[in-house]
Amino acid sequence: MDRTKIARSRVPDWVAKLQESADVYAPAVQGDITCFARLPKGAAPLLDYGNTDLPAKEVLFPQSECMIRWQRTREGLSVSEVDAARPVVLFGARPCDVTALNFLDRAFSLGGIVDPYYTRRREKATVVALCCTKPVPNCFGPSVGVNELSPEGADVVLTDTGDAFVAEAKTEKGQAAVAAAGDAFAAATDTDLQAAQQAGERLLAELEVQKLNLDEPQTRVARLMGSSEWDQIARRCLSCGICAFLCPTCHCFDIWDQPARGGGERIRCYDTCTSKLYNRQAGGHNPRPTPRERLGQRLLHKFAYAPERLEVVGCVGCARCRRCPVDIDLQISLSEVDMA
Amino acid sequence: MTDLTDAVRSKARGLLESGEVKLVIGHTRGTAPYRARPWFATSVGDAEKLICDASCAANLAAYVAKPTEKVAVVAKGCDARSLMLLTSEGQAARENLLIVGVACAGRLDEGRLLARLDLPPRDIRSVGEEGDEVVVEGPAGEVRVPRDEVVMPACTWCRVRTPAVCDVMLGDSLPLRDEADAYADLAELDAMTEAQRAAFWHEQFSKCLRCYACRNACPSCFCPDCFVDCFQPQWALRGGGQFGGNWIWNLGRAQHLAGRCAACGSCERVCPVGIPLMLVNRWMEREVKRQFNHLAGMTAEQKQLAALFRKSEATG
Repeated sequence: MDRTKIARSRVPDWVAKLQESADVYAPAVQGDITCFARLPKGAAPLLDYGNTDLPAKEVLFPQSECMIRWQRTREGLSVSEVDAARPVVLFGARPCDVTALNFLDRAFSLGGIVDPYYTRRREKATVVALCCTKPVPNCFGPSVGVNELSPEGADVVLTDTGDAFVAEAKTEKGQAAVAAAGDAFAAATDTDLQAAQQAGERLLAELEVQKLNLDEPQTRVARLMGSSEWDQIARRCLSCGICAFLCPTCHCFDIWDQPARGGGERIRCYDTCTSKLYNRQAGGHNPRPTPRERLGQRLLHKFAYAPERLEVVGCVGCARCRRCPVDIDLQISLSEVDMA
Repeated sequence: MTDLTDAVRSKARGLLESGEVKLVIGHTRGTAPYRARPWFATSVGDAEKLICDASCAANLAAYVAKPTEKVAVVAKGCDARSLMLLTSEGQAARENLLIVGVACAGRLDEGRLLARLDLPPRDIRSVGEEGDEVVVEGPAGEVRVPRDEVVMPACTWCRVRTPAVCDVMLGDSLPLRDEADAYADLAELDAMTEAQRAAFWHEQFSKCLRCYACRNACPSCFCPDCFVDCFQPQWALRGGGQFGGNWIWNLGRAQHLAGRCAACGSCERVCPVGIPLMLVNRWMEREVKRQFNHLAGMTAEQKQLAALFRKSEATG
């Protein structure tokens, strides 16, 4: 294991080096919200933040992207595939968002069927994770297996020790990212490592109070869906889809052909199983006609199907779905299921 | 427990016990003292869980869809306006609605409240109201904040703080607010040039994720098939981040809501990227008021705007 440290004041130098060969996406404030945005050259990344309002998945799985374009020419129709993947560094993502990428890696290659759009971006991405120092409100990452101190899927893990960050390069990509600004890094001393360890222990202790018991998720899902609590939940769901749009592991998309100058383009964009249109089949039949079936699908996918097919739950505990305007919190409801 | 909560429970109990209704739609306590959730009471036991306080933000008219028997709805001013709109548009028969009116001085906006308090959410033990203040009990004791700083923006300029139409009124009424500054929220937009306004909305709409939460939370958006979901033709391109489609979607929806918005602020409340949608809706509301002297959902007899025709309009 390769542990170095970088002074807080040298982080912009490091980022500038990374920007020589890649686009760096870092947390940014945009109006009323925070999200991952391409960092302009010369700007310092935001390092003191809780969690972004929008998940980091957007960098590798954008809200909408062009898949193919076609042009009408004298000779006929010319069709071209679009490959928008560029080398990127996802800088400063929280462990939950990083763990979510690990989930998406599995989801987008399930059964050997590889999604080229996501995978091309992912392969060219270097992920620099930034561990939390203070628990994000309502975060329950450890309850769903997120390694808050060294998340799976990260190439470099940064731990804030005050004036510096201890950096752990976990992969070759990570070593290259650190080597890009070798002079900004120094060997981490025992004192640094101790400080990092203490910060981690403090965080985990504080997160303990926010823990939810989500053991045996499949049993919990079955019991919740058979309860009167579920009647109330299903009845109040507005099918608004915020939970899915803000979820770092949700990855369903819709495909549309749309006109563009002189031809057209095929785009894909986020979609959600809570939407009526998502479920409607050709001919008009809808096997999930009400919010009950649709939210049920979301719950099943995350906590029953995903553990079975991907061997992990489809939740990383970021609690962004608590933005639900009618206070549906599936994880709290699952944790309160009577397991006796 | 507030007096109003007590009154709502007792009323609901009576309605359910007597069999006058089989369902009372209200709120119950959610996962935090500042969060309430819609609650569907079908038994006396359910009725005991109803609450009525500043946390009860959702517009409950969103849950009323062509009821086939009488349903009771605990309604604040905007909920009642929405219900009237639904009756005028054939979405609910008036005789199938039992409107239990409650006055409302504003409903909490979670984001504004947490930002104002700067406390970890789990440290907030209780949230109450006293006069024009919201009283929060935290680890360091009581914190008092002016109500207008922590309620939904839509509530700060709301005029209809008491249902204009209801079958039974619980608790005290609140007077209509002075109409003079009723559109003060639009002052900033008014002061802009057309180009500045276009730039402002360009920036706002470019954030839109096209999740359509605004639509789904809106009681007035009850179309079984929304124009934006139509693909033959495609009215609004789906390429997100693509300004054209986002513009068509947001302004298309605003057009469809002209003279039909109850100003409850639900769309703005649910928008996950913070688009100030009520500015659009209020702009339309003012225009409709100016041109047709129409404000949606204010009386039981009111016809919908598009069904109104006055001779004076023909001459132009």
